[in-house]
Amino acid sequence: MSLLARTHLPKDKPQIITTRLIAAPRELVWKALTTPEHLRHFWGPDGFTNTFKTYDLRVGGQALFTMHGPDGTDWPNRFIFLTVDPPRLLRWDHDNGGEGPVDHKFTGELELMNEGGDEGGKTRIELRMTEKSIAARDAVAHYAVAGGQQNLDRLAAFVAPMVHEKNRFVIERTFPVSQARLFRACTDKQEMMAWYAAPGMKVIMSEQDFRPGGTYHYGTASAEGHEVWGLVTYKEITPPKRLVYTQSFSDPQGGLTRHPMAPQWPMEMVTVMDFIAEGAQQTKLKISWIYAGVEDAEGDTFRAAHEGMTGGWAGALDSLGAYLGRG
Amino acid sequence: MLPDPLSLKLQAIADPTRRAMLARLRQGEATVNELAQPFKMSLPGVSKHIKVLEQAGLITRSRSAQQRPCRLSPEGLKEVDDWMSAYRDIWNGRLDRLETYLQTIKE
Repeated sequence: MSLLARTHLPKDKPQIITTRLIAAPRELVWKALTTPEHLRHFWGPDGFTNTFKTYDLRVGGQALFTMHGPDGTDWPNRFIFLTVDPPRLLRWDHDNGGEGPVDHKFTGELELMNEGGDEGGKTRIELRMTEKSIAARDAVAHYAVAGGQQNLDRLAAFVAPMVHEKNRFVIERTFPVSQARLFRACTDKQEMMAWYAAPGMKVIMSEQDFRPGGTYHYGTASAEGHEVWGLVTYKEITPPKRLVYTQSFSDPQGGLTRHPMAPQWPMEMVTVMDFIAEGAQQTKLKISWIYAGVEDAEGDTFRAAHEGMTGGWAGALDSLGAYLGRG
Repeated sequence: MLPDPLSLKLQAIADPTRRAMLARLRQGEATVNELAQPFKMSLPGVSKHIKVLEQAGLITRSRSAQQRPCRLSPEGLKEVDDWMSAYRDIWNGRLDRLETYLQTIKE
């Protein structure tokens, strides 16, 4: 389930068409999509990483790479480029390069369009997979539809901090425990109950379906009865190293809502938790919040709050304190 | 949807020019001309920024003096500060509790 990506399965063509808007200039999106050093991080469905052997971006050139699935399975892939027209169109024939048990042959296309004119800074991206037949298309749709949406959402989250560094906010803390121990404390519902909610906050709901695509729906209530509901959707679960989920405010039924105090706060944030082993009994937790949406007001609000969150306001607030003291 | 006052404030301070104006006003009240000085910007452009800050409740403008000098609104700024600190404090608090929790349990 994606807030912004959409899929179209034409009745008369054996295609899977996935589109989404990205708040990044077309040149930047093109660069991310044609640079192996970038591609390896986000190409493919949730939880996949990639190792590139070759990347020869010209008509007739080949890209040879292995996709590493979240379950540890390796998938060899080959692109043979048919059209290279930066920053607008990339077309390629796709197969497995003669390696591996599965050979999913299709023609891939990525088209990048300026949304709102050249100066708009937003790109409409369309990923088109053309299969051999309607039947072949229908046979892969059960994973290719979600996979295509996830791929474009991951691209959006990847380029967001390249467009504006304040689209990502990071905090880090090192704990004197093993990587596996910390991962468990941050993902196991029972363990999270021990530390997640502030003292005095009562947990009124905690329903966790801990698998990629699963959700965590929770509600807390203050002593005064003020309720806050949240909904997490897990995107990538790679124990004990990495956890990726989207985070939204919610209602008791699990529907997405706006921030009760700031309606222009992002509807959804991507959260990445990296568990970085620094020793047998020392692990750094790095939490990144990324705004990957396309609403200018949401982006401005997130970036403004970022100033506060990273302490950029510290100096300003000292002055304010002095000012108030003088008042 | 009409933006609520807090959203107006957050949007107002999202802009670097307006943040610079707020910084200038921390030294004391200033006229539009004085605020415009550091910026390569037309007076109407500066006035627009000032209007955004005023509508957000971050500054007030004197009604009496002819120049209508601008000054900070401590109440408006405090509301922003409270909200920002809350957001930061929530996660710092969580990580403090996680640290304590991890000390109390065995592998």
